[in-house]
Amino acid sequence: MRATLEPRSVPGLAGAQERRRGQPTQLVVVPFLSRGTRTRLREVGANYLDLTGNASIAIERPGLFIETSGADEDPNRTPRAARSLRGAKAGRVVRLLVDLQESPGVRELAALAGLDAGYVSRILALLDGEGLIQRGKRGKIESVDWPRLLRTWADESPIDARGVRHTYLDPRGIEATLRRLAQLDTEYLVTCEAAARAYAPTTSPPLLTIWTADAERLAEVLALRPAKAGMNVILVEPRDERVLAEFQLRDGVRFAPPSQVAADLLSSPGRGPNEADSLLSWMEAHPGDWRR
Amino acid sequence: MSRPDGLYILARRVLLDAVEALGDHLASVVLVGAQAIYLRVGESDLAIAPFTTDGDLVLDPAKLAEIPPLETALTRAGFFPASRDSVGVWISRQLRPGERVLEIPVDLLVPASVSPGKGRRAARLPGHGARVARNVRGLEGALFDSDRMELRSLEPGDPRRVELAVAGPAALLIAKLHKLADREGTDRERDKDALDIYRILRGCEFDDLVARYKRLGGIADSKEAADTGRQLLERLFGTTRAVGCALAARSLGPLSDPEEVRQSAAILTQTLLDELRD
Repeated sequence: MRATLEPRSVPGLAGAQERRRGQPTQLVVVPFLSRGTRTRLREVGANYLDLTGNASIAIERPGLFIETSGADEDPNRTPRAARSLRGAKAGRVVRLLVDLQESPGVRELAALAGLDAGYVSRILALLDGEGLIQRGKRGKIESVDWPRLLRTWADESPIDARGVRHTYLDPRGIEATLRRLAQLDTEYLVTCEAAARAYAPTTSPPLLTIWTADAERLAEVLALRPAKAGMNVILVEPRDERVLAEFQLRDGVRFAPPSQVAADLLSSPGRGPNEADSLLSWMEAHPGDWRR
Repeated sequence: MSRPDGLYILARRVLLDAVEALGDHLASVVLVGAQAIYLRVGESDLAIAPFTTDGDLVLDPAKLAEIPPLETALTRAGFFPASRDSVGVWISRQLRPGERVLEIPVDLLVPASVSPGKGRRAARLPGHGARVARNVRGLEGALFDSDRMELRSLEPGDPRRVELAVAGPAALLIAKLHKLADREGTDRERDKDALDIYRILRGCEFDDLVARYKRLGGIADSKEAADTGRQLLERLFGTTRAVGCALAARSLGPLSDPEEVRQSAAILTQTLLDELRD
C-alpha cells in the first residue's frame, strides 16, 4: 500500500513486484494511479489496483487475469501549488475570491476568471497553504480571509507590477478632470484615493489615478499635459485589460470596485497605504455594500 | 464644497450690510475682489479656506446719484472710516462668537480713468464726501463686464438675499493683475492676490473668459486696463518661474505641490494668452 506512486518511482518497486513463478503474488495498491504510472507498472509486469478501478492483476495459479479501467484523473488530486500571486491571472482569482460572498467551485471560478481549472487549482493550493482560504471536504472553499488575501496580493503584485504608469498634469486640477471623465464614454477606471473617497470618507486626494488601456489617447481627450514633476494625474496601462471590465458608476464616473482600489492603494506611495487602511475598515464594517 | 468658515460668514454679513446701506445707489455698484471671485468660481477644490474678509465695491461715477451722500448711508448702517485720513475704507465692528471684536472692512472704489477726482487717491464724487471712495487703476473692466447675481446670507437665521452686479471673470482678472503689480514687497497680501488669479484661471470657462476679455479690449474706457492686464499676465504668470506662479504656490502652503501649482498657472496663462492673440 502506498499513498501515491509516480512513474519515476516504479523501477524501485519493480524487483520486488515481478510476477515470478512460485513466488507469493504481490499487488501494488495505491489510491490513484495515473495513466503513465500504470503503463510503467505493466512494462515491468507488476500487479496493481487503485481505488478508482484501475487494475491489472495476472496470477498463474490459480489462473486469474483482471484488467479494468478506472479514472484517468485523480479525483482527490491536491494540485501542485502556485509559487506566488504575481501575474494577471492570479489577480483575477484573488479579486473573485474577495468579491464573492459565496465562493464557487474550482470550475466555476475558472470560468468566471476566464482561466483553466488547473491553474486556478494551483492558486487555491497556494492560498490554502498560506491559510488565506479554508477548504472543506472535496476541496470546497468554505471561507476566505479576504483582508489578508488583499494585503498579500498587493504585497506580491503591487500596482507597478500590474501596469505601466504615465504621469500628467491637469492644470485645472483633478476635480476638473473628474468632471470631464463623467462626460466620456470610454473604458477607464478611477482608482486609489479618488475612488476610495467614493466609498468611504477620506481627505481630498492630491492625485488622480486612472486605469486605461491607452494612456496617450485618454490624456489627449482629457487635455492632460505630460509632466515629470508637479503631476496630479497618473494613467496606468494594465497588463491585464480585464481589470477595466468591472466598475461602479458614481456621478457618471467609472470607479474601480473597492477590492481593486484597496489593493492599488496598498501599493501606492505616500499616504496610499493609510488610505487603504481606512477603506479596508469600511469594507470590513459594510461587507453587504460591496461583496456580491 | 466645505462649509464656509466663521470669518467668511461674517464677511458676507458685513458685505450685505453695506449693500443694503447703499440701496439707493445699488444700480451704480459692482462687486469685485475676492468675494466676487468666490461667487464666480466657487471655493474651488484648492486646499485652503477662503481667508478674505473685506468686501470690494466699485462705483460707476456715470450712474451714481448725488443723493443721499454715501457717507451718511454707511454711517447709519454702523460703518465708520478706518482712520481719519483713510480713503474709501469703511469698517464694521463684528463680535465673533466667543472671541474678540473683529473689524471687517468694505472698500468703495472708483476706476481711476473714469473718476472725477484727478488726485492720487480720493475719488471726489459729486455730492459725496471727498474721502468716501478711492481711485484704483485697472478696475474699469468691472463697469462693462458684470452680471446680476444673487448675494445671500450664509447664516441660518438671516434670510437676506440681494441681487447686485458682480464683475465678470475678465474684469476680475484684470483688476487682480493690476493690484498684484501695484503691491511692492512680498507680503502675504500679495500671495493672496496671486492665488485669486490662479483661481480665476483654473475655475473659469475659458471660452467665456476669452470672449469677455476681448470685448473689454474693444471698449475705449477699458481698453488700456485690458491691454496692460495682458502684459502683466505674461510677466507675472508667463513661466513656471514667474513671480505670480511662485506666490500662488507659496500661498497654498505645504498642503499642495508647489510644482503642480507653478506649472498649472503657467500653462493656463499661456493657453489664455494664445487665445487672446487670435
